[in-house]
Amino acid sequence: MVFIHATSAISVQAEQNQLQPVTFPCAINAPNYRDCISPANMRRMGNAVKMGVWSALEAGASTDEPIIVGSGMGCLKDSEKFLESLRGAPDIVSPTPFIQSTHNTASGQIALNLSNHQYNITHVQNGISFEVALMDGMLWINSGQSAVLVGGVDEKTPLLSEIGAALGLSQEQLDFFSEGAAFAKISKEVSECELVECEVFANREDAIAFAEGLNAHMMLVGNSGPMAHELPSFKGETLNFNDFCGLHMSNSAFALHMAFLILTQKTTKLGQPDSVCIFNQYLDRSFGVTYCRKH
Amino acid sequence: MGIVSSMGRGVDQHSNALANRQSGIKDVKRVGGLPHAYWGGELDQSVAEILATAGINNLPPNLSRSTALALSAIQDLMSSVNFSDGKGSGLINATSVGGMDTTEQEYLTDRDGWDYSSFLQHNLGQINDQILNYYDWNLYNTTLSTACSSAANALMLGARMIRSGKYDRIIVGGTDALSNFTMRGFESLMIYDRELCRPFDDTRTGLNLGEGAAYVLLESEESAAKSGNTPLAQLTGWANANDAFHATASSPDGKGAVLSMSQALACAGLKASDIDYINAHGTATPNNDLSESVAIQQVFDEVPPFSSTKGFTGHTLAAAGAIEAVFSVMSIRQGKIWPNLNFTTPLNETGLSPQTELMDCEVKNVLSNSFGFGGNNSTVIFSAL
Repeated sequence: MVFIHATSAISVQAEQNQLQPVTFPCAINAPNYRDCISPANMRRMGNAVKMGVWSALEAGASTDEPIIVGSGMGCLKDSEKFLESLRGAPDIVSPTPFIQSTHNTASGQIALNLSNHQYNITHVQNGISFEVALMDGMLWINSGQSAVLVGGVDEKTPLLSEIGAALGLSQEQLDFFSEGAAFAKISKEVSECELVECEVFANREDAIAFAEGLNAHMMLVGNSGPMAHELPSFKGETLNFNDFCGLHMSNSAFALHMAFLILTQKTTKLGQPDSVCIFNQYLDRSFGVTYCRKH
Repeated sequence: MGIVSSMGRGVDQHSNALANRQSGIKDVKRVGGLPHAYWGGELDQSVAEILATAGINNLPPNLSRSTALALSAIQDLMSSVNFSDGKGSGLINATSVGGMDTTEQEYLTDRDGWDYSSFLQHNLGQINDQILNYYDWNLYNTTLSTACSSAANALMLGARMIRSGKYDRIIVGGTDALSNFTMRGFESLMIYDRELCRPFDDTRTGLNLGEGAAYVLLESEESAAKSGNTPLAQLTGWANANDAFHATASSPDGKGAVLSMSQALACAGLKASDIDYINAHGTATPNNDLSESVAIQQVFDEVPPFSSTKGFTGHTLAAAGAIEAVFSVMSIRQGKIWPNLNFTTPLNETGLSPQTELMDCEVKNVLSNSFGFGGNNSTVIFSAL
């Protein structure tokens, strides 16, 4: 069995615990990164890396646990910065944005900050990056590892909105574009919140049937990609997690943070369900279903 | 096993090239916007030609090169195995370049004329989406990206998932195309050699990049009995440990590499002396080869024959661990240790000399290293059946 012990998030939410729907567009509520990252380390970190490191530490990252990160797009800003520097084929370009552009920069920096020599990985499967990362983490716990840190991080850039607009997304959809990081410490030690299932699907009907079969008291549904397909409707109380964290490729990590806060009653205004199922839809291609319950 | 690189397509072409010391590294022609000439392991085919050679039709023409290479290698794999999708099946891909080649072709032109749809191929996860779409597969799939160790990590995750009993058969591997972005990136770090790369040589100054893709089918014993596939070798050991020393450089004492090699040996239940051949990461950067050599000397009282095959393929980044997995299994199957090209002088610090001539001998266990940015150190071990 796998249990969630702590979660953390950087998001558009004004408060850490009392979650509420947000009007978009909305900027993230960035913490004071200097509280836990040294200025020397922070100098070169891009936004995604800062968010990832802060959120990982906040969730209780330690030296002796595997670190597993999901990120749909990686370090976009540094990728753009390095590309921009290549224009006109100059002889000399700065290596810093290239180093920082690697998709595993956040997971590597978390390990570096903690001198953590354990398993370190980054999953990059578009909108289900967090779910496949979480499955990897649950596999570690189920094969004897005592605790694992799992999270998701994605950043936005103006170019992303420019591409979205050029490809025909509505202003309302573009307003939802967001960013953030969310991490969870999962463990075999019992806590008040059990993480029962996490599965990914390449077929919509399979995903819906699996989610329905779980009979959760509350559904958190949302998109991790352009909202081109309607979300399925489920029986029982349903909240759209996009209303709470906006749209980015690893926002289902925030949804798990939300489920944990609801089940442990750290957020009190969203009901008192005994179980929560997260249904994450990426276009019509990939689906993630995650199920937690009170223990 | 399926493989494509600058050395050719399929196991036979690679086997012949390795035995005859025919490197795929040449003057790079197909990457646009470069300021001068570069050596690289480039496959001399366009995206359309790569797909046509693999017998793949009816795909949109704007596919990324990494996707085309992946499809070509998977098509090669599928020609020799029986694989079905559905419950118990999976695909674990690895890439670091993804669709950067299509992105940079657009990005580096005049912004007013951009075709924004080119950017849709950019994301690393797009390659799996294209593969699932082409084969009409419904299965668990993920993509890993830990820079140069990505494919070794795909092998490790696949092995863990099969051992858990939840999955029976998983295709694992990696793909990366050459790109202006990565070539200029490694050059900006001053580790792209203007000459041919010289792994483990005292005069080495850096790598040459390469491109390619390779995939292997991992199956449980029960699944192999059902599918009728003939097992080629066993994946017996795996480990991933973080060096936690520097964003891009390896520690001088090779701590992460020592951990990953030792843990992989423990996972396989083997002693260091059981290893007959080390297929080293051996990128030919001053830092990697020294750190890896020091780590090998710490793990092995007596260092077995070792070589880096990067002098043949170039450093294929996220595909390297998969291409070298295929070379490792070929080594076991054919009883051959592959030569390390362009070597003359041992490292001053360690005095280690790699195997420079093709060697025929019994090979039971091969240890293969892959190390990457972010302190990522991974080792996999293949054993004869």
